[in-house]
Amino acid sequence: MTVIFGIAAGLALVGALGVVLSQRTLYSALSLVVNMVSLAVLFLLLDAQFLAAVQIIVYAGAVMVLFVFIIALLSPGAEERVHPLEVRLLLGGLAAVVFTLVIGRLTLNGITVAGNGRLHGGLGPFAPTVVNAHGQVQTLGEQLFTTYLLPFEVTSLLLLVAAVGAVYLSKRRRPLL
Amino acid sequence: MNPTFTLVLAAIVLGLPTAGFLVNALTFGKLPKAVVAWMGPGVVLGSFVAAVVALVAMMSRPPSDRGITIVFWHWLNASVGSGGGVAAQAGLNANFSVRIDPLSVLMMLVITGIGGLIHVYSVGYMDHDRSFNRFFAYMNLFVTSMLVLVMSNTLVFLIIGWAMVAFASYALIAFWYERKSAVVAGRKAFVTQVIGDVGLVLAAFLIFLNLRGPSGRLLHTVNMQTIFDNVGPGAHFHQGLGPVGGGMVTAIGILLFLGAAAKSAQWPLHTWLPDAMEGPTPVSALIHAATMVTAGVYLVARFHPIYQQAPIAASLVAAIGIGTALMAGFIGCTQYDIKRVIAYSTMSQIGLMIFAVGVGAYSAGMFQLVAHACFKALLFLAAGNVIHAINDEQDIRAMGGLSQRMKWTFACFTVGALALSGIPFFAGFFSKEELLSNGLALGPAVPWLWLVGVTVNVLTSFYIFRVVWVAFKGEPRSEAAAHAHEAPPVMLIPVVVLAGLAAVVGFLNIDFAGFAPVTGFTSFLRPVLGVPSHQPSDLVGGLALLAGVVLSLGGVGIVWAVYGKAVISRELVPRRLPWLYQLSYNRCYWDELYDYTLVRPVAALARGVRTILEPDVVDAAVAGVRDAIATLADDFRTFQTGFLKDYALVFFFFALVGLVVLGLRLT
Amino acid sequence: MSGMFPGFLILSAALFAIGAVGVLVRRNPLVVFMSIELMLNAANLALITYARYTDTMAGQIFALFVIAVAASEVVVGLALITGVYRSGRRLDLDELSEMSE
Repeated sequence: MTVIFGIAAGLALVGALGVVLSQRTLYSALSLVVNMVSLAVLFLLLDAQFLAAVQIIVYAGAVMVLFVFIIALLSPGAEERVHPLEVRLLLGGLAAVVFTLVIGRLTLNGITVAGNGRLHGGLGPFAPTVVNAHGQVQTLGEQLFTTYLLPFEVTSLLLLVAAVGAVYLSKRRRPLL
Repeated sequence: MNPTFTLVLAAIVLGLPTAGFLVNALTFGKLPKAVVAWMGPGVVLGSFVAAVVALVAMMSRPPSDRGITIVFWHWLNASVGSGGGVAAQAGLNANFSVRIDPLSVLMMLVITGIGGLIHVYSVGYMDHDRSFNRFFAYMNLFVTSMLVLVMSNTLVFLIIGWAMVAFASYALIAFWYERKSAVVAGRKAFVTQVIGDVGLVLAAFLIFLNLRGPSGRLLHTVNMQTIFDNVGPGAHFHQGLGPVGGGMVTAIGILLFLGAAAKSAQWPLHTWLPDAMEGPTPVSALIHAATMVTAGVYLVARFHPIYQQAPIAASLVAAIGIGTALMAGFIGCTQYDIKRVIAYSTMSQIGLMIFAVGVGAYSAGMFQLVAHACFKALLFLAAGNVIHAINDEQDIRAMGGLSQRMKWTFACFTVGALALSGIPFFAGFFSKEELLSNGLALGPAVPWLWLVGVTVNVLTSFYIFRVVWVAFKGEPRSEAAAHAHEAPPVMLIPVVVLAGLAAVVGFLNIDFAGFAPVTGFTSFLRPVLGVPSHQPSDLVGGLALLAGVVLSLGGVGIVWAVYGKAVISRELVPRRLPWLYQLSYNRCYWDELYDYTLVRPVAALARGVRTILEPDVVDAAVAGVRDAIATLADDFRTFQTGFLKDYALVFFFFALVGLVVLGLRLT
Repeated sequence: MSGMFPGFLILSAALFAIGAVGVLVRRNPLVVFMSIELMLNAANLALITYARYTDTMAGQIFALFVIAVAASEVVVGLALITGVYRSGRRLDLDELSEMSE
């Protein structure tokens, strides 16, 4: 398991760096696909099978296809070169390292305090054995349509608004800016 | 009583004037005058018919079944428990519910009946006014507000009605807003009313906070029937509003009376009423004689369970009532404005009613209220005829000789004067006899309070017959008076109807043995007001009757001697007792006193605030804040580069700083 | 497994930080958008990790909502980028600085 985690985590990091550092936009997009598939594997490790599937279908599938489609449509090409010694990149990288260290320190500390390093805090009723015996999708669906019904409905409204907004923005009326 | 049927009736009674007001107001004067002339009085008379039907329906029931509470809609419902029963009554539940019982039906009849007649009269009186529609909109609004006041079963809507009435009164006093005096008078009335409102609202708060149920639990209710039920015997410390005569119940009684005094123009909140005569005469008749000013009497009668627990407050009420009655009668004797004489008369008569309800003679007070509504509306409307006939002149010295030219008006005015004076067999005779004999039997400081009450009779008949003599008899003293004409039928018929009422309404209180179900006024109100604790004996009653009549006739006799036969010189009092005359003529200097002790200091304070505090402190502070913000904004504007990444960089940078700080604190 | 648990969270933080750097460094709006997706995904990873840790469902549900929101954001964002491109401008964030005016 540790091996799988190591491979997936490494691929995720490589993908993420690829997004940021690639010179071609299309390479960035493909790196993002790698990152997302790796994340789906990590979700499986965390007993979130349904979300892993959603990650593949929605992100790696729909969203990324949309990205690639737009890239193909606009064909920006390699017009931007990220120099490895650019000041902003160096500063940004430094900040990223500091951020990760701080979070890591906090996390280790928090875990030690709250759960003695165990994976199961055992705080809620949905232990993986219970959920998997019951059915991942069923448990999630029950929660979604009872406790989280209102956010769910609001989300559906949000999607509708987004669709309407996208149609409105894409209409060829006059230049946007 | 049948709840559904009563609900429909109450909805009609309240709804018709409301609809009249809304239609009239929302058309912004665009409605044709003919439509308004029919609609304005029509809705009030329709309401009257519904009230009569309610009365008939009520009389067909046994006395124990004559009260019903109808909930129109629920509002601010935070009551504890659900369903019926006592539990549901506890807690705030300010639903719009009305109480239909003999007392409220009586008030409804007075308001819509006399109000309807005055509306009819107004069609003629306001005929030439360019704000005809506005006038009827206000009048209908007033009737609505007054009905809300007397019908409401919760303190909340009682207060709403109370305040709406004050607003309608203000709007009608200042109706001719081009006249500065009218606007000032309206403002004075309104401000005085608000002082009373404060008293009423505070009383309501105290009741809400302190009323306890039988189990000693705080009820927190605004339902008036619940309040009256629980104030009840109240002998136990943990029930109702505390023990009889306790501080709480006394405070509530006094605060309630503050509201009543402002509304009913009782000392020390009386000075607005004479000024209110700036309004059109029908307004004076309806609001400042027949209905609104008697709301204080209604209030004390309605809250009599509280006053029965608060003897000190009740005695105060009685004393102020009788004092106001005497003072107003005294002032009325020397005024020359015909409407002001009647206004002081109103104040005086209401003082008697307040005296009656203060000593516990509730039904006697209410009876005087009804009789007074009839004859005082009559007097005002007849005076309105006179004023209308002589080009809006109100000074009685400019009248004279009108009895020949305005025979009907003269006759009706005289009937009103007789009724007011308590001359036998007119309305005022019965009501005052009842009032004074009950007062004698119940009065806490018998007999001197009673003696004062009887003395008022002399003053009453003196000032009103003085008007009769000076205005209607003798020779015309002005060009206009010489060419006066009788009023048109639309103004005369209501006056004649009121004269008929003033002549016969007193007989209502006689217990006609065979006349069931109408068995007299007192027994009609008994389900609500109970019976007085002491009944006057026949001897006391007879003595009171005799003294009252003799003194009233004495007053008429003095007028006859002074103004008719000139046996006594008119200059007798002004010359021999100039201070007394000046005291009366200058209205006991109350206006001046308030002017010097309240109005001027407040105005001076306001000027001081305006010249010192405002520019140097308030304005300076505001300007300082403004300048500081402008400087800061100028400084910060340089951050706004317009590059998205700069904003993102700043955002991330500070997020990182926050995280690092958090991390340092946690580790 | 227990030792891996902080690993998930640190990975999440690292992905988030890389995404943030992308937002700050890159000038192509499409790449900036992808970086934002990266950051959202990092947050999702943290949410699901904590859902597993506490044996509750809330984290997973929120991750689901985040995916929905991200999808709508991409739809609108890409429509905006298309609009900008159509107006004849170069797709360069440093040149799109009308906010200062």
